[in-house]
Amino acid sequence: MAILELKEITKKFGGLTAVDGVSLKVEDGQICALIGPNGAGKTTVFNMITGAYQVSGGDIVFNGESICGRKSHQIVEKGIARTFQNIRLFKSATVLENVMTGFHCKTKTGMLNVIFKPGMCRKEEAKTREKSIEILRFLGLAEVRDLEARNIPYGHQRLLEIGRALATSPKLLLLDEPAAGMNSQEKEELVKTIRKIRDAYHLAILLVEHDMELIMGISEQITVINFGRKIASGTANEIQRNNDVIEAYLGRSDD
Amino acid sequence: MAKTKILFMAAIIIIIPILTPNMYIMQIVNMICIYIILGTSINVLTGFTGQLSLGQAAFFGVGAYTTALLNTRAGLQFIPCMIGSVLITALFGIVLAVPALKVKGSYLALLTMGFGEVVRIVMINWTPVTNGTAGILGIESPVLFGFAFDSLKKYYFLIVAFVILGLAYQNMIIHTRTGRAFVAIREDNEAAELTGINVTGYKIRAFVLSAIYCGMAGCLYAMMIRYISPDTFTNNISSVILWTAIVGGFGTVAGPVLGGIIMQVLPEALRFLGDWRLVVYGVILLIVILRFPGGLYPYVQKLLETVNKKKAAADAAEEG
Repeated sequence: MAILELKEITKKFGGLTAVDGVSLKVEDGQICALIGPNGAGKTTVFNMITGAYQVSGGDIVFNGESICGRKSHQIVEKGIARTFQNIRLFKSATVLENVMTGFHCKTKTGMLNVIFKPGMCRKEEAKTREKSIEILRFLGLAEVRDLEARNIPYGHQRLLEIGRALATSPKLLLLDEPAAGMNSQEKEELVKTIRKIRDAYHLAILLVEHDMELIMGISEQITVINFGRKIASGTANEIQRNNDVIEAYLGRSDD
Repeated sequence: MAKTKILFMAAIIIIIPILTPNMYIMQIVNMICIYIILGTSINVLTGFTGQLSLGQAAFFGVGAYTTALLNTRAGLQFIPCMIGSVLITALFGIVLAVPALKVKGSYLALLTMGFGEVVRIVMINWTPVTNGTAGILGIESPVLFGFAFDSLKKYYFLIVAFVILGLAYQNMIIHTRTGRAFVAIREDNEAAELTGINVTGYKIRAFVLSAIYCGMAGCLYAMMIRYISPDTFTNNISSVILWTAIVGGFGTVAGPVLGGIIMQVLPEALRFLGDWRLVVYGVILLIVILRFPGGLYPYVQKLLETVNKKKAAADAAEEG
């Protein structure tokens, strides 16, 4: 069953159509990629899925339910988490606190419970901490958990963002250029980590990426967009042989 | 260790009024306690949630006026007055939060400042209710379970109880999902929303909680001074509240305690300078924020840690 289905979604900014009738399906447990040249509208698609932008047309169905018009935090609650192209951690909070913040929508303690139900509060807090440390261990960040997020290395910050997203127990994880700024060795590690995450947390992953090597190595299904329109979709092999895609990336040959 | 710390704090709290030689100093001590609560109020809003407010005096004033009116007009005692102040300021918290959600940064600062002015002008001009610039006289001292808090020393213990409750609550709440949501909003609004936090809801909560602290402080102030007028709730007081948290350390629970002491003691200690005292006062504060960005408390904490480490090392050396 498709966990996420974009049905002909369109986004217009005034007279400019940034995304024009893009359709896309992500199956449960699948790793999919959305690629395209700069300015093709990839991040706009992400922003529509996460509710940051409202769609101008079409429908987004997640887990059998339309999520158009929902607020971002409600969409996260439903099970879509994302990371950012330019890392956006809670910089002066610790690594552990960053992940614990991710558990927000899965926990309940309110401002009055602190006074009236201190027991429940303490229990939930201990559980959140334990589960967060588990995620950090999984990502190999347990050692640095008490450091401020801004003080850990760049690669770790990227992982931490994924950790914070995992804390919301997503069914679908959106990764916005996860390999940006990484060297080839780090990229290899990242590919392994992404597969490991999918297998351990049983979720589907949709990623936007520029790095072709990474995309071709990891994706089971690739959708290519250019100028806001879908130009191709298929497996890595099919995409590599598609003339429209080659043209979009390399330009048209004149003969 | 925790027990000795608590005993130590309790001893200090009890000794202070015994050592205090006169009512003048006792009054300053009580004002310090009230400013600790006010500093905590802005700490919730600005220190933890990152929403700069220059209008805290308005909440403080609304709390004080609510108590004054409930007491002098309706003859209500301390507890119902306190509840009334808390509820009414909470309502004002929502009233300010609604427009405040739409702006940020310097615009938010201006908006909150305007809110403070509006409230003060209403206090001056709504004469039938507030008695205008003349203020409200004849507020009664609180009587709780037959015990009258009729002197400044007795009153001190009542305020301290609220300071402890207020700080304890603050300390608990920041270590829950609510506190983490506040910090997340301060650090990155959009990332917070996309981490599943209802940013709008939590900003409103921060405004309301902040207003409630001010409401408590206002009630305690009105029943201590027993006279209030609009002169007490000016923009100047809003800045003193802001400075209390800045000097002590934004985003730390104990910061406003240090800030409250410094901001109340300094102007009194500088009185011998006559007309120059405000200049010196300003310069000292400037030096503090330049030399100690992030407030004094984090530095004090570091200092204590190094002392403790040295002590532990010395102890270990002795044993070895």
